[in-house]
Amino acid sequence: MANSGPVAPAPLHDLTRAQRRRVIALGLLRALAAAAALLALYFLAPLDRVTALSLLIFMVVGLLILAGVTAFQVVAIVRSAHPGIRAVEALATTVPLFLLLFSATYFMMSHIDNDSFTTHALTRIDSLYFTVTVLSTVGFGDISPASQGARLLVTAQMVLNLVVLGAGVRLLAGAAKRARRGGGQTDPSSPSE
Amino acid sequence: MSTPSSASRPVQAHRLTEVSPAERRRALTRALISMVVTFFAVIALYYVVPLSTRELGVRSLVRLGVGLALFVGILVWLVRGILRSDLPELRAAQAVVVAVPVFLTGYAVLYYVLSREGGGFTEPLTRTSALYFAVVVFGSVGFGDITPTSDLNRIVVMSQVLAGLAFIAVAIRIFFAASRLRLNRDRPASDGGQRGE
Repeated sequence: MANSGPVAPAPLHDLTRAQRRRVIALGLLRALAAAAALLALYFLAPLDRVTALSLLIFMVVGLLILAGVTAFQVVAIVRSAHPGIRAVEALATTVPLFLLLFSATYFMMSHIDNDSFTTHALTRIDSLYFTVTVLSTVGFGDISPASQGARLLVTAQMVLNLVVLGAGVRLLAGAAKRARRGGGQTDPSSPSE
Repeated sequence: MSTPSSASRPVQAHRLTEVSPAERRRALTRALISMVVTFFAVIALYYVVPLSTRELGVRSLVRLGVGLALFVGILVWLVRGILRSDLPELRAAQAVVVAVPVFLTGYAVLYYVLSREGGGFTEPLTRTSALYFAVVVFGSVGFGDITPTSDLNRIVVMSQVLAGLAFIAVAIRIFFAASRLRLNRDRPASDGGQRGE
């Protein structure tokens, strides 16, 4: 990963105003398109017709996809010509994926066992709303997990939230910073800011 | 700090960016696997460790003291590990992945035992519910579906809220400070001076 960056990173302020605007707009558009596609998939997929086995498969595959996408995004940032923009794009893709994967899992769980959550048979909106209140640590408690399985899953989300909010943001920002300095050369004295 | 001890250290400390890409990849893979394994080992241990359900009393206090000493011991052991590691940055990250589940399952044990011995929560806690409650408190989610109702339990929950903040602010920072200390110790002359931007 160190010296294989094919493009020399160009700081944004080296570009003309029009170029800069195009780079930023393109990055944001791509992230928006990815998020919209994920959202459409979430609302259209037949998630209410699932069995316990397909839920289990969905969780395993979902976890692998999440890990794969995160790794891919980190590599993409390090190799990008505009790591700053690319990092924002990566966050704007990974976080919706994380939210929608958990939301879909809760939704399916609630349809397999109506008593998984205090609100019976969550709708897709209910489930997404619940997932976001957990990520933001608002935690109204109007919907909360009731079964042991649901509690275990929400516990996993809360632990992963810490990773997403803490390490994720730091990782992406750090990758952008490293790539901006060029290759794998890092500033040896970059302690926590 | 002293010179004789640094001479007896078998390996030199390196930053992740200083080693060859192949070596780095190997070290990262090894660290990642060990993180996943230790994380789930701690959780598995939490589920299998026998927790007796006798009355609260002096014996519970002794057990609490032993638990606390054990936790401090684990923290000290982790810091020592970082100070001796050849890749201290990676070791610090691993230490966080050990310390967080130990902290959470430690409080989960406390809640489980409290609930079994004296109640005091809105519902009797299973091991999963106790862990879930500890994480809800740690993550500041605070659903409010499970809450402490007795004074004793409320004190314990307060202590988790405060210890959790201290844990984030202090323990994790100490790990990364230890990693920097280890890195700077080996080369006081070469680049110990260039700090700050």
